[in-house]
Amino acid sequence: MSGKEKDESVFKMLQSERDRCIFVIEKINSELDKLPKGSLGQRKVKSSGKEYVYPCLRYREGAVVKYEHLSSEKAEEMKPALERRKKLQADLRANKKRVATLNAILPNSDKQDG
Amino acid sequence: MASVLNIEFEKSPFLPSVTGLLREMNKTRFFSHGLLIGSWPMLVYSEHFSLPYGLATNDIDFAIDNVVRVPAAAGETIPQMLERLGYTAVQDYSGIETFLQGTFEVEFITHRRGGSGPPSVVIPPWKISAQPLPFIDLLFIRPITVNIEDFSIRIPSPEALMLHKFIVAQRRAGSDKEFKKEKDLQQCSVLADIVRSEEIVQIIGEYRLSKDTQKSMLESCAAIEYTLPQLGSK
Repeated sequence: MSGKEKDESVFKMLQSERDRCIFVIEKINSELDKLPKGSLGQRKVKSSGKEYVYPCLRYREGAVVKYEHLSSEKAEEMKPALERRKKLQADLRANKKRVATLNAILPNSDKQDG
Repeated sequence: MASVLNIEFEKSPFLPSVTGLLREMNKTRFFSHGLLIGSWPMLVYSEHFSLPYGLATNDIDFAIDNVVRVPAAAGETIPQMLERLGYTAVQDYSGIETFLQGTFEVEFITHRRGGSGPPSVVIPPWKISAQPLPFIDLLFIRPITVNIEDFSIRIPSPEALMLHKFIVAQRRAGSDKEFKKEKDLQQCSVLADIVRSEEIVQIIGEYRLSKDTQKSMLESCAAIEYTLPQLGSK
């Protein structure tokens, strides 16, 4: 194998790894679509001189942060799905970063968005 | 019969996260019926035989032997273990399950008999969903045990791996089939330097190969100018 062929083979390997990461990103995105958005928090509401604490779901809709009151049971029920979402978002970031790194190495004609 | 090949590593040739995963897989006794496949065995052979090939991607594939013979597992299932290690199970539309952790992707594959079948099958004792693919049983012919630090794994023998690559190289599909074929043949030409002829003869003698499969193997052999004992190619 000539030096040029070796270079091309390495580039193809990197390209294949980049394409695999793009496929993983697609898989994660389709999984994220199935999961609830936001994070669990608590809201304090004052009424008649008393302070009440409610569990709530915080999420963003465009520029606005929305709060949705939840029952304690519902909040507990949502916890695993929200943790799963958080974990998958971290995986998504890792894959996007890898795609960007591989794109930076690959020749211009082989670049692709993640 | 060819002598048994033993591989020992005092220090793991894998990344720490992959070593950790393999150590845990070993604890579940997965390797009694499973193998590490994909590009990772090439890393083992590159290290052991000082071969000029060390490329491994971040997808980690495991093969599972005949599902019927898998005994019931005690304690933690493999998905539970993977979750403990930080992997998240994701299923695609066809039911194929992948475990993700950062850029790492773990998948399970099993042998498919015949031309078609379901896209995934569940291996009950381990609760793993595996993708059935043809010719996986070939990889289980006299696999190699690799002792790494304080645990061991099993990988296909270089001969089984090379013969498997000879076959699948000609059957690749999809947009990157040419690249994958090239990668398969590249690995074959590296393995050709270390394979034991008597073991090749033995495997070819005992594995049922259709005329089409033999033709595929001969095409791959011709591409890397390798003479396959018994099938008589050059």
